[in-house]
Amino acid sequence: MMKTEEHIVSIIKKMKSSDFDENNLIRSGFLDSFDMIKLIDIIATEFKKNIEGKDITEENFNSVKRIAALVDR
Amino acid sequence: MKKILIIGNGKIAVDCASIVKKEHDLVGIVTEPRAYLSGKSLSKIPEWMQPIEAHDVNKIISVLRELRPDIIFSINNFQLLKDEILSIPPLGIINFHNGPLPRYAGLNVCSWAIINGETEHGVTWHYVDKGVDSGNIIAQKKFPIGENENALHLIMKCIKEGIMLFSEILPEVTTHRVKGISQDTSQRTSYKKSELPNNGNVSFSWDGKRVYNFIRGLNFDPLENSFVRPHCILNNKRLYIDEMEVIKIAAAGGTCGRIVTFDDNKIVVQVMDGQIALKRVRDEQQRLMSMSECVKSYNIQEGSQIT
Repeated sequence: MMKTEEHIVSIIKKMKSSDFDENNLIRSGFLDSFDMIKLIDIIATEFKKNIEGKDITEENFNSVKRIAALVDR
Repeated sequence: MKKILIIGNGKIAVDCASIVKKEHDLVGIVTEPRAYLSGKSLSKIPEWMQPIEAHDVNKIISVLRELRPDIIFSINNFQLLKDEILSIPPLGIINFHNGPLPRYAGLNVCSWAIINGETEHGVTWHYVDKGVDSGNIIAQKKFPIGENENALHLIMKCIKEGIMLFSEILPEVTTHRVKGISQDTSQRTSYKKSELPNNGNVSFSWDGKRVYNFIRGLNFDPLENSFVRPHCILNNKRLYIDEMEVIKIAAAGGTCGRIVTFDDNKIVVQVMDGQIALKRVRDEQQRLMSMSECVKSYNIQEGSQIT
């Protein structure tokens, strides 16, 4: 089974079709608010996991690792 | 090249600022506290952008006198612009409105449009005059509302369409003050900030489609709901409803609001013209709960009545 982090990387790759720094998604400006909402929608479908508004923070979404932690929680 | 000032917040203000910067002198961005400019810090403010924080109108006026912009764009701006500001920029002030004027003026119009069962929505760029959303229309774009679109989806669509339309109007409005089209005030509905649709109460005496529109029109998932969460009362406790679907049309099941059946995934409730299934609900503290938790804590039984 694909690890959560790898799965998230593959989702972001499909969304943005360009290279990115896994540890600097928001602060670098790579993902904007629209991308995040799209990503959360895809996570809800693929992982059957609803991310709540209170968890949508720059800290939680700046790295693939933190997003995976949120999904696996 | 003109001197342009933006007063606004969020992604749309940031994106329009990027467009302005390509051809013009962006003299500043006046915003509410920094976090809001980036949509509550969901997206990064570009390095070149140095927002001017202005919490009150007097501060804005002094900023304007100093920067002397030729034109001002008010984009996702929640402050009313006072009369003395209106005369400062020679090419006027232009506002973005995320609804089709004159029919949907005011606030929370994406929600109101869905709740009212509209199948079409739109965005409008218009001059600012002394009223609210009442100046001459410069450009408007209309587009369909998807059957299952929620409030956030529609807001995002408005932002995308608004940015595209901004690129189209920018060359013209920076050359001269265009005439625009005056608004037919007889068509106007203006929604106030304090105005809540049915006070947020879901009525099960509505038809299924109307209940569905009400709930999706107040769904901002996954963002926080700062308008009102749809709710009802079940066994004397408030129950918040995030998601539902219409499952049966023209099904008899007793009085409206009666729980017909339930399991671990849904609670089926009778409405005026059939049955709906509640799929995602929240407790009195607005915390998400599973259906089995809900059944237990609200003591749900077949025949329980929701009001």
